[in-house]
Amino acid sequence: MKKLLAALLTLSMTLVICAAMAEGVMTHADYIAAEIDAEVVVETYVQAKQSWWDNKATVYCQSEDGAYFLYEMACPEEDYAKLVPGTKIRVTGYKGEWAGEVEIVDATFEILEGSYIAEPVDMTALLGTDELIAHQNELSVFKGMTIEAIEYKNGQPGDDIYVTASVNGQSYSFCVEVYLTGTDTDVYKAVGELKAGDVVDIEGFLYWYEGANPHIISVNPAA
Amino acid sequence: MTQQTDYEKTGKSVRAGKRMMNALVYALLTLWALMVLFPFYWMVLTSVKSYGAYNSEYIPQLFTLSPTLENYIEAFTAVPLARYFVNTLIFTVVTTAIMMAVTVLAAYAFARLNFRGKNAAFVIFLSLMMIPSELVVITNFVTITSLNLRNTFLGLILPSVTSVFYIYLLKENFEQVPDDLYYAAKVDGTSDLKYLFKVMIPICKPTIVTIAILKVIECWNSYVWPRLVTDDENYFLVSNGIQAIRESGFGRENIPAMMAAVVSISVPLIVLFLIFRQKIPDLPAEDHGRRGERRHKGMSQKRAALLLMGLMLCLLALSGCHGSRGLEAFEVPQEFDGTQQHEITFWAKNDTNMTQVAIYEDAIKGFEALYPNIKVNLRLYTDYGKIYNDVITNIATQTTPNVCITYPDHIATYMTGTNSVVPLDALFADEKYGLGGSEIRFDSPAQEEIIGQFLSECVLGGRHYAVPFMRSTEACYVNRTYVEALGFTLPETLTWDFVWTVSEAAMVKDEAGNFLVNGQKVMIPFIYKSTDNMMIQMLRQKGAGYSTDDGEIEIFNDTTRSLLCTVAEHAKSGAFSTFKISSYPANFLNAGQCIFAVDSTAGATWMGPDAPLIDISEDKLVDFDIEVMMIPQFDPGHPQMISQGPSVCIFNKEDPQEVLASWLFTQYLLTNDVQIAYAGTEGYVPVTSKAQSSDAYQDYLARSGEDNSTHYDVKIMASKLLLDNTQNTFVTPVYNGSASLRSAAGQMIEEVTKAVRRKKTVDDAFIEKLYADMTSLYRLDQIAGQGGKAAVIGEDDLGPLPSAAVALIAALVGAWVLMGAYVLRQRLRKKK
Repeated sequence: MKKLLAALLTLSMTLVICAAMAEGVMTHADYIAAEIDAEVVVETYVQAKQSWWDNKATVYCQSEDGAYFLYEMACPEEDYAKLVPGTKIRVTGYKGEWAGEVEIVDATFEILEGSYIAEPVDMTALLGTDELIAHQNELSVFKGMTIEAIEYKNGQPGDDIYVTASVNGQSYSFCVEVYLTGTDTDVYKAVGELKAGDVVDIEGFLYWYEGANPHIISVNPAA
Repeated sequence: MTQQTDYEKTGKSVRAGKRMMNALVYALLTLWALMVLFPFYWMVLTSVKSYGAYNSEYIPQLFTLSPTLENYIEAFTAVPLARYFVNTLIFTVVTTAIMMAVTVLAAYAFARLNFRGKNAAFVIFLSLMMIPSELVVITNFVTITSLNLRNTFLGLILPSVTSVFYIYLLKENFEQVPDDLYYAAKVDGTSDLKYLFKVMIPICKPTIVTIAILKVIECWNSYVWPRLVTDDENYFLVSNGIQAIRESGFGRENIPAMMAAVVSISVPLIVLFLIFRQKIPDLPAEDHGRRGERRHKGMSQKRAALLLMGLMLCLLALSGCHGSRGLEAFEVPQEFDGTQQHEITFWAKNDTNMTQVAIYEDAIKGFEALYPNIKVNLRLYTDYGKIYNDVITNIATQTTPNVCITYPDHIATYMTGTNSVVPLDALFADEKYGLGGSEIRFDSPAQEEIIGQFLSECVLGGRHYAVPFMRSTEACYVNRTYVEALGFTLPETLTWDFVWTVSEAAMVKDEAGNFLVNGQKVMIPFIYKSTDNMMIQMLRQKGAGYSTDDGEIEIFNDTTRSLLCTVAEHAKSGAFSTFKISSYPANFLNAGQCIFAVDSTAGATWMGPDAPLIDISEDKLVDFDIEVMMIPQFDPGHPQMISQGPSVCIFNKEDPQEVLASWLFTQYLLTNDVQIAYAGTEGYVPVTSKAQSSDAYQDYLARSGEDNSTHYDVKIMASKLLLDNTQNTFVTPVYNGSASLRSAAGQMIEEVTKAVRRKKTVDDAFIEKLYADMTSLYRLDQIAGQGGKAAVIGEDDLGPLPSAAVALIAALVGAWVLMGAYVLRQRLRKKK
């Protein structure tokens, strides 16, 4: 009897501890509702990596219920290699906002079991509306965009590319973030070769800088 | 009968015991074998799983029902793995062949021949084994780079063609061959070389084969050296090819293909081992069955030994026993050779301002028109940090640019390379090519025409290592409208108390949660762009410690503590924030969400409701009166403000004519046209009195407000702020590590601001921990440890050696002394 009671007690304590560990994990809605500078814990999936420097990684993440931008998350180089697209991670950090971009800063992470790769969602109709910001950092596609201007950040290839494209008479800003794409990639070269008047579908992560400023990961001629 | 039964019983129990013991041993061996072999099994298994099957496994499967070879196809087609194989084969075969030749000859000489200094030479060889290979990698790298052997097979092979350990191993083996055989061969007239090939090598074949196998394995697995000397894919070996796959190829995403690549490169070694394992002959070294030919031919022992020693010394030179002395110190040539073509690189920084890019390009065109034999290649950066990182990376390989925009803090670190940065004093003073020199083809300023204050900021260790290019300072861009709306009047000079008071007053909200001063939901009254400068200037204004000129860290003091607590107090109320936490001060200022925005005068074109450059949508702009003021002061009667802005340094090259060409271009950047044009792009000031007092520049200043572009009033007010306060500017001491201290200073403000926003308590304990964390993160104790004159650039004294280094050197010296004593003792014994 005593042994049975001891076993039951151990089991229940284990279950409680497991539950406690899983507690504190926020849904995306909870995260959005949290105050700026609040501590947040989310579970999400790596979609792309922007950069690694000085044991800090900047990563685009998305779950089924929303997306996150992890800015300079603590990450040794060997762990950075493990953050392949689809990897599930539990992130603990602080919610911040920088120039309108809601992000998680000063974060740490642990890798979990699971995998998820987001499919791009057509956000063309939401451009210019207040609803677009609810999809911040999500993998999005913008269809039938007419290129108005292509400008290298520094006037020459090797740095970011600023893209102005319009649809329905309104212009919007996009960016090829050179740390995300690199300069030897097809997307970097393709964007650099775009000309005013080209009509393309633009796919990227819905980054925010003083307004929508998606980070482009691919461009294709409009279907 | 009973006795026989006892014997049987005993025998049975012994046999049973043996069987149990055997069973246990085999069980343990099996377990061990499984542990050793399982990774290989897993590697092969993964390589035959399809990508989809591998990624869909939540629980790893120990088998697959649908093996595939697609990963091997992917491995060989996605990257040129076959070429890596060929390269590795060439490298392995050639290196092993040369090494075997060297090792056999050297071992034979030490084992069999007698020559003067043999024992001493061998002792020296043995002592080389005490030097870890990691220590000589860098010197080898510099040697190979100096010989232009990077990305060549020669560069890969040469440092690996000798091994003291194998020489020692083979020498010991050779010594086991009885002397009688040698003497007998000598009597028969056999030469030393013939004896080596006919007798020694066959007898010691097992050892030689072993050495060859080990060398092949070493070459095949070699990674560090090939990684260092090759960045051209055509010379990649399988090891760095695998790493390239892992870093930038499919390696991180497609694990099965990665495993296929690894299996492919592992198979040759395994096959080699299996083949040669059977080929090792079973010949003991004591076998006297072989006899060499009894002839004596060829060179004398001494000549053979000397030849061998010479070869060894040449090879040792490439084995890293010496280091590169770096570049020779630059000396100004007598004449500039106008017929010699030069192509120089100029790494420049611009503020994401295309006008500045155009000015650089115009300057290059103008200069090249005057000096047609000099071509200038421009490489642009928008970030000093990136320039710094790229320069540091390139110093080791002497592929730095010729001319580079930089900060003096950064030059201090560049100068850790020997003669890497050119000291400019001799160039300044040269009659023909110096500042205002007689042979200069343009109107260059004389030294006295460069603003002394700015020029002195480029002095490190008593010498000029840069010239100033542009100068700026920090300004406080103020929303006067909001200040007055809050019931305050702007003083002539802002004080910290005033700024904090007004900022707190601006935090009042109405019932709806809108800030009263602007009617918006967002208001951060005081935002500081560069918290490094904020801390440095506050400490300077207070007369408190930051660091000495020699690098003694003084920042962790009570004044710093007090300042951090004040910052925390105002950050807690939301009255203060920083660029890193909130975003550009200009964006908030222009949207009416900030009252005091501190940023460089070189950011003036972004400030104000009519700013020519804006980063927010026009519908967010708010109209207000903007003032450009000095940063807040603790003592308005004695203002202190930082002096900053780009300087230009020149990197040393082997050809002094190339350095002189770089200097001529650097001087061109100081001409009026370039100075005035560039200064007009932002709130910079020209660094020469010649440009500042010129009619063109005075006219530019006088036309402030004429338009919102070239003559944008905020920009010109910012320039005038510095022009009127040059004597109130200062710079911080420069030494190796000063950039780290600067970063630490700013980071402390960031940390206390974040802490209070996250509802943490900033108290003495927090500050103490912060001090410790900053010291550790930025390695400030290592800067502080240099102390005294040690941290000053150009000084030879680097301070006291760490005790571990002293112990190591003492041990090495002691070992040498003991070896020398041993050799001497042996000699004395022989004489007796």
